[in-house]
Amino acid sequence: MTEKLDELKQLVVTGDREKKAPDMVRELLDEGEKVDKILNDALIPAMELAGQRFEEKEFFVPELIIAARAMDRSIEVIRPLLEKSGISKRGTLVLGTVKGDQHDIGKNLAKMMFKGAGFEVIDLGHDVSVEKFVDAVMENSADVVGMSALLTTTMIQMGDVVKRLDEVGWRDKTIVIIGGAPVSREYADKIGADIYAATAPGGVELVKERLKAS
Amino acid sequence: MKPERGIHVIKNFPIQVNLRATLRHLGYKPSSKIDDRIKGMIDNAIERAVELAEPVGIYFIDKIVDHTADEVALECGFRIESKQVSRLLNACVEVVVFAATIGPAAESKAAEMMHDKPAEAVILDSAAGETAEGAVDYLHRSIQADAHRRGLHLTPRFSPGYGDWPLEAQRDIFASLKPGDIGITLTESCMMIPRKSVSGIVGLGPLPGIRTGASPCKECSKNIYIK
Repeated sequence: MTEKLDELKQLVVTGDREKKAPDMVRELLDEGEKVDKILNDALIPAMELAGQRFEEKEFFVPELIIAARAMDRSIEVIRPLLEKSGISKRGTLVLGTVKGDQHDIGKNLAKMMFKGAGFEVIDLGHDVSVEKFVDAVMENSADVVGMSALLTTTMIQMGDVVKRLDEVGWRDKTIVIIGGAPVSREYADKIGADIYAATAPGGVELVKERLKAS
Repeated sequence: MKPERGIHVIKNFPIQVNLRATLRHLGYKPSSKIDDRIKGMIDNAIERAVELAEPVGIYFIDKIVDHTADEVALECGFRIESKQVSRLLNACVEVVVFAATIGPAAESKAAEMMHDKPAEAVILDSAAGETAEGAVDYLHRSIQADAHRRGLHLTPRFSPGYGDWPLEAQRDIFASLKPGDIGITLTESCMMIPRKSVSGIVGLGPLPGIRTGASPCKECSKNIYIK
């Protein structure tokens, strides 16, 4: 069984060209493998490995997305079981591109990576207002809020979300992570965000560390 | 005031897409290994982006009437407040103000594909961006041919949002060039719609003296658009 879990992991990392990964998940379930083992010993490590390869510049954006897509297809098979068995998700992330900005490729990449790491992702899309971010954080009791901006004219909205979260008493309950071409570690510090993510996989790791520490 | 020599529009021209730039946009280095499957996806995306492109460009050329270390002013009243642009235009006598787009089809197709084929969608979006750059390359080549006859050469291009030229300068370009006439609009946040559009300036001047060759973006410490 462990061999099969390894094989599944490899299929996801390499992008599962023949779409065998969901079938292998079904096979493992039929053979009595526990759903948490499939998730924690094959699927999540597969995405961690893909993310690591991306950080080490062995994988690039296409390879990473192909792995995330294979992960997503595999997760779909076990989703009903995960929900039934009450296996806890790693956390809830509210995600969007800020108001005035329609760039969503980076945001979508972050969504795939966080989903692949076992987070529930509430995707608000692009052109998301401050109020919409804050309302979604409160409604979903989000552990993390992720904001993306590609323009120097729109990134200021990120600071407004941080301020508004503070005003409604949610700042301390939520980790704020930002990303996008014009933002930086310095900018995150300036607006009071917790994490600046230069890459989507890097952002996932930083959030995981922060959640572990809290 | 309108530029004396008028605003020119060119449409339906051939585009060459720079494969290396597309690969760089996706994060690959010249030395990176790319497997055949992904290489095939990239080739297909470039082909598709070019097929879907409806290229159109607009520009005017005007004389520099004032040139300080911080600012360059054109005869028509167009002003550029940027130390970097001022340096780029060193020894230039004229400036081309331009915008070009490939239209909305490629980016719409990429958005449509995002759910079921995310890798293909992201590659198509990158290829479409480079196709828009290819449209600007064509525009510049046609301007260059005419400039050479007048003994002038082109500097590299520079766009609002690069270095110390704020993105808000898009509003000045739109006010004087009116790219709305070729279907490009500007949002309140200074984003161009269609997104696969490029606007900016190019200097014209005699050799030796003017700067040609590498983009000044490479020397920018902020370098937010080229990582």
